Amino acid sequence: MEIMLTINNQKRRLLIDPDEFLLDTLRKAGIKSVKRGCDTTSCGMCSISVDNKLVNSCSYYTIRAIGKEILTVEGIPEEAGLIADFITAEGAEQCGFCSPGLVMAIHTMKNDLDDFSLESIKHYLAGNFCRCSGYEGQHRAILKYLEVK
Amino acid sequence: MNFKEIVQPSSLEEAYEYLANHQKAVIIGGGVFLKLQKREAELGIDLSRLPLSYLKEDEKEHHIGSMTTLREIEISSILPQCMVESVRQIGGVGLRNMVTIGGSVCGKYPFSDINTALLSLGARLVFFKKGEISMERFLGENYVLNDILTSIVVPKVEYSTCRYFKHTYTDFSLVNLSVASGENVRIAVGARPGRSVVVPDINTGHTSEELLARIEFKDDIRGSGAYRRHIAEVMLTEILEEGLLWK
Ligand SMILES: Cc1cc2nc3c(=O)[nH]c(=O)nc-3n(C[C@H](O)[C@H](O)[C@H](O)COP(=O)(O)OP(=O)(O)OC[C@H]3O[C@@H](n4cnc5c(N)ncnc54)[C@H](O)[C@@H]3O)c2cc1C
Repeated sequence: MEIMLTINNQKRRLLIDPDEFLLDTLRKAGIKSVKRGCDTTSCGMCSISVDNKLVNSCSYYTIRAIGKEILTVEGIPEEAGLIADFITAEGAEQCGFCSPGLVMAIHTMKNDLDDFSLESIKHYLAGNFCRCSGYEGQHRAILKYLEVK
Repeated sequence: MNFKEIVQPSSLEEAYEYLANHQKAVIIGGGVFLKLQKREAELGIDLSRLPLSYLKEDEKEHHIGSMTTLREIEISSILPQCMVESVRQIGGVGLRNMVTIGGSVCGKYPFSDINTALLSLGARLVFFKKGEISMERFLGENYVLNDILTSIVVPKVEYSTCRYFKHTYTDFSLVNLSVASGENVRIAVGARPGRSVVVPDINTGHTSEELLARIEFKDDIRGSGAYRRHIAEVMLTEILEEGLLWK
């Protein structure tokens, strides 16, 4: 079926299957920052924002996103670049596969939380896994980033 | 689950019509658990365009729309404490922004944290056609659904809290326990690993060991029944020692 989606502030006309998930739709549309990790809503690699809410695109039906604002890392280049600078400054980045999802989670977190204690940040980001470099470096980077943002 | 077609009805009547007229129709709540099931269905009935996502309250009760997400429950400032606590480690924020309370109830998942909380609160379920049924009866019976859960009614209580034991943050619970006191005092235990149940015949003189004596705990790959029982006893002792359950 043919649908219209708003992806990173651009209207896109796309052909989809009725039960397609956003992860597949976005990748077919050339949005390659969105990664498939576990494909079971556990790892957070595919995290994006839909109407300012963090969701796992692997399990979000594309038809539900019609009329909503879809945002991926490609839509926030400056913010993503700044977050990346802080993360690389801590040496926290290795393969980078989880980074787009983490950046989107940090993006929605800034709106969703009023208390940026390490504990509430950890709770918010618990659904975004990193398996090649650990978490301490990321947490240090995020705390520093939140101070300047 | 794969769907040949998904409809997005704009009224409950229309949604029910689809359900009644298609033998192989499946209701989609958050759709997140359905996705994990390896099955094919002719028709998916997506409830997301219906006004079923809300939290309302009157003097005595909370009314929770079945499409309300667990994240909305987590950040609510009015719902009973045990409900809010029970959802905090159900996956990450992204998952909780998608999974619904209606899907959690209707799935009758034996590992459920939120269902244990709802049982302890004496929640009632409101179905579109069949009307009201208690959560306890719904979980206890093999009630054939073929209906749409529209809302969940939760009596207001004076005190409630829950506990769960997970190997790691956001993992499935090895065992969980929830208590509430309002008009009645109720204790519920779940992830035994069987479905959540209400602890029968409780009174103030009982120790946690005595209270849980008649509850069945079983072995599975995550842990033994004896281990689960011990953890449940420790969790309940901790709650009893706080002294707020029997005021
Ligand atoms: C990775 C992962 C980890 C999880 N961890 C936990 C955990 O630690 N603790 C916990 O308690 N839960 C956990 N869950 C379960 C989760 O909280 C939800 O209960 C589950 O995903 C079902 O919600 P849903 O909205 O996705 O339902 P769906 O998948 O949409 O539906 C589930 C079932 O209910 C039916 N249904 C849905 N809505 C209605 C309705 N309104 N009326 C009638 N029938 C309906 C559907 O047809 C289907 O049979 C986890 C789920 C996942 C995917």
